[in-house]
Amino acid sequence: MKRTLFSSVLFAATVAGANAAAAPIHVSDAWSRPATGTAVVYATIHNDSAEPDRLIGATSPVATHADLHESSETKMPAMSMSSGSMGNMPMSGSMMSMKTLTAIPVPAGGTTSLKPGGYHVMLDLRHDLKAGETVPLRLHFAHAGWIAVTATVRPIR
Amino acid sequence: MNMVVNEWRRSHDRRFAAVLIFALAALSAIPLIALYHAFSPKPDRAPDFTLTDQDGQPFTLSSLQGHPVALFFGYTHCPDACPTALAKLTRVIHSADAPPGIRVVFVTVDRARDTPAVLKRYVRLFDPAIVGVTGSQKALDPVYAAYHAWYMAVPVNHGPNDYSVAHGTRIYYVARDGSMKGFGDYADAPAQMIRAFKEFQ
Repeated sequence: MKRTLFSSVLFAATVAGANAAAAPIHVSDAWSRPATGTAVVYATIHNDSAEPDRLIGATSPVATHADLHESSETKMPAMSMSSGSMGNMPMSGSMMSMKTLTAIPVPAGGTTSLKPGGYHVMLDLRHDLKAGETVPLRLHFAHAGWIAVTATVRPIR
Repeated sequence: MNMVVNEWRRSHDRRFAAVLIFALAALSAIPLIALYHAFSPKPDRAPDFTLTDQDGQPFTLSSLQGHPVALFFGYTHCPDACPTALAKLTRVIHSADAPPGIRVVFVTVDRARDTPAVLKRYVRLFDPAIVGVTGSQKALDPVYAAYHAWYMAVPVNHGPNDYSVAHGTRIYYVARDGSMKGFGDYADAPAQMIRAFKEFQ
């Protein structure tokens, strides 16, 4: 309850503070998927300014938490399995893990993509997301401040 | 005379004993080899298992014989890799280029949070051809072992029940006859997945 109140207050405060028109940061193609419990937000972030910036936080009224993440794939060493349940098949593979980040860099005059298998915002949902729904978000940048973004929940197919 | 006979008998007994031991060892090896062949899975067989599906019903992998199957290990709180994999597989299921009758089996690596009810809400987001399975740790462990499915819970900072799970991203393709001829990865494009479904039949 306290947490809900806190994020609501934070959300209200950031709505008042956002000045997207003047910001050198442009966020486009923000999207999500139908989800229950946990959701993701991907987007393209462009930095028009001559200064590098960093995405340092996010908040959304649909979520109790929003975390900045990076998925990283680690190649697992090939195991030699000459017999057993998997026969003679090569057993190399990948392991996917997530890093919680304090910042996602956006280079000066450059673009950072939040996309499957890389950077993303993870939302701990208050309610399920359905295709066609929109998700309001505030993205917090170290220099550009708070930017209002609307993510579209895209259908699976 | 008696001594000579005894001597002969002793050495004969020893030789007989050695032959007997050798013969017994050889004979017992035959059933051992037969047992080994009977109980070790065929090299190209997808290891079978019975777990619990999203409706709380027993689910046996081999019940899907006749269908091309993709098997994936993941968890419902996974924000990125798992829904990316299942979204692509959903597109593949509905692609005109893909073989008909595809089924996808999503085995949880997070049984603590992925109850059948949670799995039901999750797989419903994607497609009815996707079955979500869980089970007791005792039932799941041999499945993870048989498929060499790696996973590891990684704590995050929001509380004791909050963690992510690092896990393998392999897609296991099981042919209609229950054989397993190859793997893919969650990162493969849908077109590659379709090729894999065809190639690994």
